[in-house]
Amino acid sequence: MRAILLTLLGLGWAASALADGPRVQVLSDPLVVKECGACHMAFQPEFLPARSWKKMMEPKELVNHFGEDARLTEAERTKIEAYLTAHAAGVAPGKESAKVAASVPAHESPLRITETPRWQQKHRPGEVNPADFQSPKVKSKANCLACHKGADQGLYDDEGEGNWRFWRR
Amino acid sequence: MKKTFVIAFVAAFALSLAGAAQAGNPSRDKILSDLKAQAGGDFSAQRGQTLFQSKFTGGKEDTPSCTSCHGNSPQTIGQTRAGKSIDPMAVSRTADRYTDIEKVEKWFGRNCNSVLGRACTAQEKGDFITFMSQQ
Repeated sequence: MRAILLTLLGLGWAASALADGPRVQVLSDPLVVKECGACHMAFQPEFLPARSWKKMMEPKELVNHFGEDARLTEAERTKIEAYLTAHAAGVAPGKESAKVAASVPAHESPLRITETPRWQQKHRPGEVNPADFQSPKVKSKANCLACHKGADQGLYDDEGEGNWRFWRR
Repeated sequence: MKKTFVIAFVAAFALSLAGAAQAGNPSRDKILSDLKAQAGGDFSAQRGQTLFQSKFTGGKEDTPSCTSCHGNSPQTIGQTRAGKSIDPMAVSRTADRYTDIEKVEKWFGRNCNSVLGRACTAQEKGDFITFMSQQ
């Protein structure tokens, strides 16, 4: 009897864990994954509003993309822009998308995800040790995967040290 | 007798390996011959090495050299400024390097502008690929 109860409890936990699932839409478009993922993880478009992506994808911005030339062919550029704006914060379904959209003032079009109030809130000192971003293993705040091992699968709750945060919930 | 046979076999195997390493790749050979037609002269691995290792001031400040991201040796794994690893540039380490013309043009187009602040010439591209093919 006890074994059955424990099994049921286990199943319940597994089901809730699965239901919790990725809270961010998985980026599946092969062109976007290939091109945006060439130098950094292909960030899910719901981390920025559509107006930010539109600005970032302008040809004059792309030739100086955070200090590097990331020019694309016009065909690639328009396809990628269409995908990013169609899955942007406030456009993509889900809580994270809505929270990012709500956090960015309407007159602002940040180009860095790390500049959104939502990102800053989630990575504030106390939540994350600021020195960790300087570690050679991390190198850059753009390196989500250094700590969020499932980031490219839309999983951002792992915190890098096993799934303690996941368990705690 | 048996020993001689084994030695001969090993030697033949080693020779076949060396031959395979130098045989090149038809796609890469085509890219190089097209570049040669544009450049008009022969390519030099030495000049390619100099291009790879030199520091430039005409490009973007975070990327003064190819080695800023690709590492000091063509044999080693590089790292982008965003922390993502880059396969070694040497053909001996990354066999499909310089075999896809679109990829070659895309990355010379971007990175020559980032590092040198201008497009690379056919001569420079050919020198670079020639150097990396021998690494």
